[in-house]
Amino acid sequence: MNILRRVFSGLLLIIGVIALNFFLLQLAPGDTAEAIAGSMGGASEELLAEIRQTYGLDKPVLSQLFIYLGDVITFDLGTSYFYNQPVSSLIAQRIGPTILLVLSAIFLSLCIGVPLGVMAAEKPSGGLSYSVTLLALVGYATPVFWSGLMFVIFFASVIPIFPVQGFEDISLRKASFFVRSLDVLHHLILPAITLAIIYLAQYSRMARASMIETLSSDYIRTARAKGLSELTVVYKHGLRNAVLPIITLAGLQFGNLLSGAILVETVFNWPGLGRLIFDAILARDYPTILGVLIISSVMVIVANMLSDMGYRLADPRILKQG
Amino acid sequence: MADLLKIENLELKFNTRHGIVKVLDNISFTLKPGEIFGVAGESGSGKSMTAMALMRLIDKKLIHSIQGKIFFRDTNLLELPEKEFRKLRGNKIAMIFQEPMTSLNPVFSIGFQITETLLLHQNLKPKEADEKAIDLLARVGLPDPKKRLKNYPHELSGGQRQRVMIAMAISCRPDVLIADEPTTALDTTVQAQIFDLLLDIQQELNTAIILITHDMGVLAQMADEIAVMYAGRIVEQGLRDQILDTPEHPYTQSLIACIPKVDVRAEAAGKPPADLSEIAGVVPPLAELSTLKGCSFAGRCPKVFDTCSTLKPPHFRLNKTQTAACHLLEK
Repeated sequence: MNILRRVFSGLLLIIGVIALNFFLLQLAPGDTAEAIAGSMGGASEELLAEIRQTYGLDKPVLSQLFIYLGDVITFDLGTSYFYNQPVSSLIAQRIGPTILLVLSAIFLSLCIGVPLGVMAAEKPSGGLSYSVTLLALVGYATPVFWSGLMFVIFFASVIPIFPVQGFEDISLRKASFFVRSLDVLHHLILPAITLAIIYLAQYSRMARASMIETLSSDYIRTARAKGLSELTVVYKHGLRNAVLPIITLAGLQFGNLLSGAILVETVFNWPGLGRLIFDAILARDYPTILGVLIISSVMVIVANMLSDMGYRLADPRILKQG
Repeated sequence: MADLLKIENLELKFNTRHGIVKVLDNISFTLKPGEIFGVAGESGSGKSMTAMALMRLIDKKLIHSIQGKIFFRDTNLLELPEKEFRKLRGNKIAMIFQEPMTSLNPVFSIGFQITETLLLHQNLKPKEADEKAIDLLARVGLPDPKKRLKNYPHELSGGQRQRVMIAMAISCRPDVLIADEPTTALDTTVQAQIFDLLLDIQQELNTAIILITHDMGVLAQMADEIAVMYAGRIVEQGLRDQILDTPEHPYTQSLIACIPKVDVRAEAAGKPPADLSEIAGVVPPLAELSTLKGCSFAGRCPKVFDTCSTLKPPHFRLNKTQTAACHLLEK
């Protein structure tokens, strides 16, 4: 029941997002028909009128929106002016690499950041703790495109052990699935690390603060009084509580992660949604822009729902109130 | 009977911003099997610190030094390696705390938290541990114990949570149970129930209880022996009746004067109830204590005289079982 209600409100939210994006794009300067004509090398007034009619651009804005909404429900996101392909198939080609990149970045930042923060919390004034704070500060302050470019320069010229461009090696197109997967992983390493750095910094910082607070609570003293080993006290009784705010943070940041992916994909020439929307913006390709925006809103909404459910599973106090 | 727990000249010093500070000063007492030993005193007198030192639960970063001996049967607990001590902690020596609302881990079920102790110290299968946990919850008077196993702490009231804490503490039939203000956070009727439960357990398992409280009234009903602490030191110690009927230390006398008295006949006659008495002033801060030459109670003592501010009073033995640290007794 509860989940149904959430899904329903998620759907309403998506419709709202579509409408908002639609109007925002209407406000953008420039005439779409002229942009399309421009890409064909210019056109006469008659041709412009014909383009407007073909794409429905001569109708009132509101009816354009309703037509669009009606199409979206049937998964028809329109046709790209620039690629001359259905937007949905463009997105289908690109969504895989982006999800792979974003999930790897989350995985990396959680798997490295959280343990780092926990270890730092065990000795809040120790050397490791200060290193984590420093690392977090540097990581957080470094722009993604800059660290990405530095990686590209370093691994392209100094130690070329990782590929710095693209998603896979075209010469391996005919190789076995296993070899190709390894190749994709090899390509994934640098973009994923680049995207993970900022979040690694945030999660380690958050884990440290949350863990320090947790370790000073009464139930940790109880756990020690039971005779449990320090390892069990910290990683079972402590971490399970300290991880709760991190789950929330990870869900909330999924959107930021997607926007970070645009930069990373551009720097590393990663063929994902980020690059798609980047090119679409340059080409004024409104259907593609709108399509990618819709898909990313859906992904953000789904991520938030998942983190919410994760939180409910991890914290019994919330489960019962729902 | 042989001593179960014997504390000899326990001295604990902390590193603080104000330098090294003596938190516990020359604490000595013994505990016999099945005995209820009361520790009384105001906040900041070192009652809880004594308990935490016994359980070795004090944050090591704070400790500058800890001296003296704590014998449990024949082992000196202070010399025991941490790993060995963990086998006793929660098993033979257990503790219940002042804050039942926050002392249970919110994300684990009651059943999990009780069986965790059982599985750790006793050679039980998970199913046996579950059954034992149900028995324990029934023993501490929680209704519908089988259903409670699956409950989480937030679904229980404060009194129920303290019962769960007690169930956890007695799960391995401890020889020593330290109860640090176990009812402070609970309302009065529940307080009485918890004390009844502790008495039952003490009789049933022959567990010795160190009962820490600021409430002399509670000790008057429960304790066999009482130590009165002030500013990290035991200032008077003796059998319950000695402390209550013939207190020699002015601090003990003031504490006893603080027990509210209900005079039913006077009330029936329409006389207004007597005013509640209090001890003027507060326990001096730890940082000041270490620079103090004389008696730490001198600043608040109604019977203070010259010697009190210059010389720390030694413990005077009044009879076989009672001692007090006050210069008045020298005369």
